[in-house]
Amino acid sequence: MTRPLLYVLSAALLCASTGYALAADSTSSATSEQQVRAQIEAQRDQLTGAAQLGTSAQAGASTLLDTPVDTDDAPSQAQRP
Amino acid sequence: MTPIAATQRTPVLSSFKHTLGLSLLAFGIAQANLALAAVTPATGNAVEARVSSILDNMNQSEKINFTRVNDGHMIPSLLKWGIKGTVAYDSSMGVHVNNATFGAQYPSQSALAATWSINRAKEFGLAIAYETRISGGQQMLSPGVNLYRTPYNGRSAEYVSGEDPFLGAVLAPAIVNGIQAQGIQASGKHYLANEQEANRQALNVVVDERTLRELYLPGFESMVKNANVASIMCGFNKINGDYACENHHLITDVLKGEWGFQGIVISDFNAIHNAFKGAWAGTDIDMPSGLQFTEANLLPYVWSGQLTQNVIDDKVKRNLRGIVSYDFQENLNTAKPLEHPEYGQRASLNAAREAIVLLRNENTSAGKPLLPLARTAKVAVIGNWAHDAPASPFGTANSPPNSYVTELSGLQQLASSSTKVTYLSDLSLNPQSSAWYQPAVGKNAVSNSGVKAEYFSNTSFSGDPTLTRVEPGVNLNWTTGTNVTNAGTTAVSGFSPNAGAFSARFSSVIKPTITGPQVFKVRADGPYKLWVNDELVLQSDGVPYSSDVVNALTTSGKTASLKAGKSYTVKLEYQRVQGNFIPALGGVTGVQMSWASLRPPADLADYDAVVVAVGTTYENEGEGSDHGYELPDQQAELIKQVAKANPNTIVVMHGGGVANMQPWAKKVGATLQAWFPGQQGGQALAEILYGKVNPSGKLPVTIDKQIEDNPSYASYPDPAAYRGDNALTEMTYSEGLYLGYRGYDKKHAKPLYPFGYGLSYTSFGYSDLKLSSNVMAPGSTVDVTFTLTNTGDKAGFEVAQLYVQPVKPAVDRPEKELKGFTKVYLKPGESKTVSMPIDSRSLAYYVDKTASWDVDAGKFKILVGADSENLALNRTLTTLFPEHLTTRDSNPLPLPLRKAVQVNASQTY
Repeated sequence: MTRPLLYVLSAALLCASTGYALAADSTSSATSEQQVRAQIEAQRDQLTGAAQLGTSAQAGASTLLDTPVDTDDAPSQAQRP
Repeated sequence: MTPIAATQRTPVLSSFKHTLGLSLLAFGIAQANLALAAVTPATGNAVEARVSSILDNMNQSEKINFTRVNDGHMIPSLLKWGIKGTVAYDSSMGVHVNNATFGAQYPSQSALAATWSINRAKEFGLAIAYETRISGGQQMLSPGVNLYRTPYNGRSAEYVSGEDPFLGAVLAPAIVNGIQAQGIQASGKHYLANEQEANRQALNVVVDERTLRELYLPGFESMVKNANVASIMCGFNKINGDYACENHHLITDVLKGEWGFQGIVISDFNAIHNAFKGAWAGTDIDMPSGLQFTEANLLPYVWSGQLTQNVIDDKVKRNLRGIVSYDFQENLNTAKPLEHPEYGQRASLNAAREAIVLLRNENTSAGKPLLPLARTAKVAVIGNWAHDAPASPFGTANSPPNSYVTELSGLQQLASSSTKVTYLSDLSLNPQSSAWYQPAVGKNAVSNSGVKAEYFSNTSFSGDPTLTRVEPGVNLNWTTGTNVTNAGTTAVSGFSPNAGAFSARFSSVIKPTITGPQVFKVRADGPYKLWVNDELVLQSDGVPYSSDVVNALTTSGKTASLKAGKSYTVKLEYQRVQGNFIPALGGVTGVQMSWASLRPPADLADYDAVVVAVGTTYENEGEGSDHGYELPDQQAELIKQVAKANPNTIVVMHGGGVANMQPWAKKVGATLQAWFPGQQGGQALAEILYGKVNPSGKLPVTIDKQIEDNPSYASYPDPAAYRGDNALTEMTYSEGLYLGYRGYDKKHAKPLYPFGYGLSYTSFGYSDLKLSSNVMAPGSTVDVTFTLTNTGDKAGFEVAQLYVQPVKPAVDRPEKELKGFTKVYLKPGESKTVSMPIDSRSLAYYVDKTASWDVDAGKFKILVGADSENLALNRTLTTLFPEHLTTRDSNPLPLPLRKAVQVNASQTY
């Protein structure tokens, strides 16, 4: 099976599983709008390969960044000769 | 000639052309690849030749299908030519990947507006584009430049213009240039007049052409002319009768015609309603379902001559150009682990540091300003906003942070000891931590905790419950199937919360810890009513505020005064009648209940200062609906009570826009507007409160004393009128040019805080204003120079502002308009000569009948100062001759500013 076909199949499975969660709630047309949104987002993640990376690790609360305060002026707006 | 004949007429010639075309294409790729990859977007003959080469070899079916997507792509794939298509990610406050945030959560774009910083705008663009590239995306769906017309707007967070077109016209191209220099396409949105979310799918905005040109278009114009923005997204609403994506005047005449836009017009989410109108108007991509731009829909119009081939070919060329000019044909990036999260973290922190606006800083009883605080100060902290992970709006801008510093944590980390900072959880509305008791049984009242839950398999609480049990609290989530509380966790089992067939009754007892009124909050995906001591405290009819992305409904109410330690009954009835509430993007399917005291503890006066963090989150603000002007969850009353108990109260406001501050504005010691400050917001706030960072944010909006004073109020008094079965479908921008401070000037009225306002821990002096010429000659630029001095004892930034005031104008014009600003860092006692350019466009107004920007002969006052009401310096500039500027050649930015917003290759990574 080619990689693109794998992607399509994965996307279809993901969409199906997403749709399952929502399908139980389906009572109006707005639900299908949201199913489309979920499906499109899943497709995007499949196409880019992000879905294979998995969700970013939730590091949670963290310590302060040790980054100096920027003190640069805005770029010059003076006319140059 | 029939269409079939047309496609069959010259098979030999066509085959020859195809072969030749592919050969040339291969040659072109070899020639152009290096050049195209070096700088994005590539432009010029190499790009155009390659685009034409592909176009010439596409058949009609391929062409039409190259204008629609339904498979997750933005620019469609065209595999015959090795084009795999592109992917666009929602990325207003963070890159939305895998239903999470890929890299950093940035401050909202309204916060970026408050920085008034070209540097921060570029830094944001560079960082979020880097994350988009690593996530495998090729395009970001931002920045937004719609104006802050009303505080109600659910998407205020996503717009970088504030209420002024010039502010957006400077910052938006700086963002876009940062994004695109990284090889990622930006998308300016939402074109056009999408200043409200309420009933956005059906809303017709009625607005005159001059107002569009002078207020609502310049942000987009500047992205086109000063950043070669790759795409523009047309919105959901109508403008003067035509849907935004079907508006020929705005897309083909203005955007592509007058401004020479070479990029792609992409539809908002299925925002094209009529295939012919959308195609003819100039929309180039029908996304994400491709429902309209099908062969079946468009071919008949092509065959009949109503759509010329040029219209189709133009779309294809633009979409191909989007591929070729970014080298996506040969070098398409794919997702990788994020190697450098620190880029986004740093950009997020820097923006937050400069975005937070200090609005008030009164002297304490010791005779010194309340802020900055000593690190040894004993500080109380109140409010979920300080305790929880930094929020973002509901909808596609929702970006939960992966790592973050809460405001409470930031204060505790920066204080001399973390024990100096105490969180008062009794004043926090949190469904996880709210304390519940069961009715007393013998002597076991206190330990008998929890909420009695009765679950019904119908929506009317009829018959016997399917299940009755004691829950540890009410934080039920139907999507995750959990009820997570600090007192324990249960699973959704033994009952089925099916939409249309479910209701629940929750009964409990509370024992207030502080005497006085208590606040209750319920958030749920259906109707609910809540009683305390048998009195109805709050209710919701469960009717969604939006017709597309539907958020759960959050309501609060306050009780009568209750006595500490006594028991009071609580009953919540909830019905799940429909299943269209969204469980993602900040929404929830489920039901949550919480309560807290509305009175502070008796010892609050013992603290040196009290930080109250309030405002809106994804619960109250976001895509698809508008919200009210009042702070949510009875927070205004909480602030008043806290300030009464401790005058050293510091209010930190949050949200994409601003909320009503008037009820307590003069009663608190200090006020800051923190927007959605992003994942490092807690650090930035703590650094400002303790004085490590000198605040430099300035308001990109006017803060009204009351919503009735807002110039848009006359036409938009109530978002609720745009909801439900009889929702209004028209909005007239009746204030015309007189939006925000322009409207206040016209009425000679004073707001609570003016546009451009913001305090510092130091003071600045303005002096010695000079014009490089007292006469503006056609085609020239005048340098406005002055001396800016830090007259205080702390180093810091100042945002200096320049306004143009026509003297005795021949036509009706705003009293003054922002036409220049810059941000300068000064050490104590230091002075710098500051220069800001103005040109003829800075003085011009739009004349509809000649479709030109006109400058009348006359006089103009050039006003310079710290904010729109504090303009200490002025000089008079004269124009000797009338001037007519074309819409094609004139530019919202004078030439030096156009250069200032550029990003060079050395800044990319």
